[in-house]
Amino acid sequence: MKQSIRALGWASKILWIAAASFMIMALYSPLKLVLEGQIEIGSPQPSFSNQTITISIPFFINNTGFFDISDLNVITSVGDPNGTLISESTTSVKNIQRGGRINETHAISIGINDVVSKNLTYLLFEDSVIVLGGSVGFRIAHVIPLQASTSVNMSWGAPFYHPSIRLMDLPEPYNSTHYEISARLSFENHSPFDIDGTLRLEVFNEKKEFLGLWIGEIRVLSGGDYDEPVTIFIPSVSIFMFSGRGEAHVHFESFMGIIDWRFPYGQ
Amino acid sequence: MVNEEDSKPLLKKIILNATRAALKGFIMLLLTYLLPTLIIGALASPDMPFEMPLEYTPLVYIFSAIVVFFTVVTELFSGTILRYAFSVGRALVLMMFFIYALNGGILTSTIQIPGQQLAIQILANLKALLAVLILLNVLGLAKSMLEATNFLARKVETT
Repeated sequence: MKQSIRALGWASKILWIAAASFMIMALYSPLKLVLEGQIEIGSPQPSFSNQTITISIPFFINNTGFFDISDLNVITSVGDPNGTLISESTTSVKNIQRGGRINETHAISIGINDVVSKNLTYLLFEDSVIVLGGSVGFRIAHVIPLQASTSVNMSWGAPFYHPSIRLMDLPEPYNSTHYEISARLSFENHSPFDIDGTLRLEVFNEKKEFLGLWIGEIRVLSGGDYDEPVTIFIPSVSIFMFSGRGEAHVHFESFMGIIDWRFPYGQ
Repeated sequence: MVNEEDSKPLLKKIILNATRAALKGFIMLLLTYLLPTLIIGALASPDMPFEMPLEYTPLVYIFSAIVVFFTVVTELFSGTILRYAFSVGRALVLMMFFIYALNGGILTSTIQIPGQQLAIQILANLKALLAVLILLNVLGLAKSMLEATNFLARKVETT
């Protein structure tokens, strides 16, 4: 019995030392990467294609830790303050071997169609707050899962803030078939990107009867205002339907996508 | 009644046990409290201040206290059956402590980034490590039971 007790004692001591060493090294390993600056996050690069805004964030990890890092998942989410998820993006890396390094890019994609389909068009016209969530999960030594997550509230500037149309004069005859109305179309671009595209403005009366339209190219820099005169032509046969108030339908088309919205005028 | 000749080796044994208990207790205090505190202090740098989350600081004291207490009492009662009882007690208390301290294997903590309104939530799944720690304590428990049995068997043989 004495031998078995002694063997058990030695086994217990060796296992304790091994377990304690593994635990300390495994938990220190990711901390070492942070302290040594072996994790680098590049500056975000925005791009537009297929009606989608893509923000690419390059990142670099040099695994100078004691163990492999496996099942690395970088998840980001973009949502509005009411909890509606606009976009969620995931980047996965299967394994970063000890001593190995990776260069990856995490892409956050926000489709204009997603914004429209999720009733988030108010973000186009009202300044608000965007909730950005980020989470990084991985396994150390293929055994210990660790996860770090955070969320940040970022102020959002609307690209078509406070759109309005002000009719300047009563309709005047333009030619034998049309009347013209001078108006001013205005909005502020509070968004971080420039607006450049074709705007089609259709004017309806209170009974939703079509009166006339204006089509023009617009370009508004980020942080700039748009306040330009527009001339709306109304067919002579429809002029009796004009009452000075109603609804304006706006159809804006750019490389970012197509946006439609309506707002009242003459209130 | 204990005569003078019998009390001399007993006193010697008590002094020896007390000395050994004090020495082992100090070594354990060094290993379980002073060394981790020094390591954590060494990790901190002006660029990246590192501090143990406040909610875990008392657990380090408690762990150190449990280890030091049981080391001291098992050495003090060396040569008696109480030594093995305390060994069994240590294994049981440590098992309960690990389950409590590691929150059943899921550790969470929030780190506030200094100077920024940014908080990072850290979640660690240490269930595998907790299982290893419990198994090691079960091993210690088994060893203490065997030692106690052996001790009693020897006592019966000598009487």
